Amino acid sequence: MCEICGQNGATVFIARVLNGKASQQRLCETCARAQNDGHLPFLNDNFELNLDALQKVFGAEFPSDEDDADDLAEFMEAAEMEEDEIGIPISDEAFASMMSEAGIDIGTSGADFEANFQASLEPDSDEAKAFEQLFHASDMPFDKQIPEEASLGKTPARAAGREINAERCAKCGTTWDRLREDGRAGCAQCYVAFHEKLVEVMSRLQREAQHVGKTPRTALKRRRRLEHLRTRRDHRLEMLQRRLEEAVTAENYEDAAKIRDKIRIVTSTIVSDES
Amino acid sequence: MQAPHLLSHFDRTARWMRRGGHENDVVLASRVRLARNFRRWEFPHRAPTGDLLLVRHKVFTALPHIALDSGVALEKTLTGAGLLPFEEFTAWERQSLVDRHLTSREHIREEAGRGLIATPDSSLALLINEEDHLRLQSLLPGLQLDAAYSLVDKLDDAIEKHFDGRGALAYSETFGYLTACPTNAGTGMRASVMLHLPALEIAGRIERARKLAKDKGFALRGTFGEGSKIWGNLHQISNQTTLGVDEAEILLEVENAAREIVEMERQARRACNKRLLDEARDSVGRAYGVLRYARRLGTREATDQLSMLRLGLELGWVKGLSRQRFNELLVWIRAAYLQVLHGRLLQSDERDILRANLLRSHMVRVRLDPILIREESFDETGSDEPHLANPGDAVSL
Repeated sequence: MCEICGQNGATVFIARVLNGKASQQRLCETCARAQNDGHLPFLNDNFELNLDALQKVFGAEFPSDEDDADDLAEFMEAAEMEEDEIGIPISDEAFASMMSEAGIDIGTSGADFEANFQASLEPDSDEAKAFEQLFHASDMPFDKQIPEEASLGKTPARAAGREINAERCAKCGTTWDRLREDGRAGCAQCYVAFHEKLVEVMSRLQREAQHVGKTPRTALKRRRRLEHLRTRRDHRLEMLQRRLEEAVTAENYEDAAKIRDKIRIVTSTIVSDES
Repeated sequence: MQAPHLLSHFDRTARWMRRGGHENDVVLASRVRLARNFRRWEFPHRAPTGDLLLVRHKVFTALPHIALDSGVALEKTLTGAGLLPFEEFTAWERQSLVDRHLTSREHIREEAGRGLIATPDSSLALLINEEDHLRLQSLLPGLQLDAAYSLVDKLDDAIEKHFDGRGALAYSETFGYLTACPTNAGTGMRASVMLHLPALEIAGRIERARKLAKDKGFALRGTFGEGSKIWGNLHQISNQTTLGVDEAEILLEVENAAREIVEMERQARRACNKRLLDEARDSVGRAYGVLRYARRLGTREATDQLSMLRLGLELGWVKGLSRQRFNELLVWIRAAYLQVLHGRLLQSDERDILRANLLRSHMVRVRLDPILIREESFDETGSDEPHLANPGDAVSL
């Protein structure tokens, strides 16, 4: 569910790192757009990366700096990686496989399923009952958190993506309850899906909920790059703040407003590793 | 009809049975296992068979490249390694791999898509689609966790170099190497030491050792993994923590804990010469009698008696057998090993006879120290029956 309106399902996940503190938000599209007053300047209306905005910040700041082109590319890469890690709405195939695992073939008998569903929605039975019957009739192992829209078959991938992400791993469909009972995760993605819960469990069972020790070289490289980006961002922020102070003391409020906007943009920059 | 071709992959005497390492009087072997997974596929317990086959195929075909990347010393070892897809072997043959401590009981339970790459001396193995996609294992004699780790670490580097070009291995900054069981995540490493603790058993102090291990955060359990029974006083101590500690620290901690238990066992062994003399002589003498003369022996009994006879060896009461032979016999008497060796289906009682035959043939060489044979004066115990006089210092049989 969206954290702001609490009505629509959450399809936009936002992870922020503000002064070293990570925060997360799960919003519906409407609320995310409404909130997008400069907080997410790199995303356009379709929540894709906005190159112009990026260039405005990094390009305009150092127009002569050749490094910046590389930096931008690096940043883009990091941002893309970010997207990989964050639970994005699952693809149609993933959903289809999930449904087929649950004994529902949406590929071939999607229409049947819908007809079946419509039939169960007789005018004399109220909606809640109809759902219950349907769930019992098809012997669906899904739990109740599955949104109704998912079974309506209108926008299955979208609808399913919303709540399944919250309750089960989007890749393999393992629920937290199952993971806990079984003592085993279904796939690597489970560690992303149940990150907070696992951190909580690990900090009890293990020495610490933070890995130390051997790291694959690719991960090392990535870690170094993220650190580099982070320091660059912090550095820039520091500089902007100093200029802001200068502008304020000089009572140059027009400039100050501009600088403040830039600071806002830079602080909302995502330079994080895991969602 | 199964041919005993599985055995053609392996030396009769594995590396861990031979001489090497430290504290050999108590420590049989050191093992280090690393768990690694691919990001792309679900973990083996959940993945469809097709994916399991794919994973195994990728690893099998990658082996020559991995061998090339793994440095001079390992390259030679790895090129001689056998590729064993489990579908090709019978349940007995797979069980014999467990008996050799090459893999786990969980691994051989299912055959589809499971497999093993192992060097002939069993010192290095790659378990495919066990609980995790890959488990790298090295098994060396005595206490030498460092050497075992460096072996497996090199193999891990080579595997990473081959597969992890674009982050194909499941790894997270927070949880380290991701594993099917979250309790293994982090380093993904399990370091274990196989210990022989017969004197602690006689002294009735085994529970104290178990508690000591537990208090330090380690598990002391049977040698065939979680939930396995303790036969022949063989125990295995291993780390329980894998996250928030680095490899070197784990190795050091396990080694220290193992040394402490080794010290406890040695203390109990010293007591076997004094306070526990009667109990120890009873156990060792009984073991010799059974192994030397029994005509039918089950695995359990044979293992337990071998254990006690080995205690006699360590106390200097039994001569004529080497530690290596004891290690070998521990494996050679196991049901699946006999089965595969003989290449035909044996009934349980037939195996018992073969086992007893094998053991008798080795016991022929055993000589006993006078301490086991000499009769003390019976005045104190008030025995009035005349006993046979002791014929000599050492009796060879």
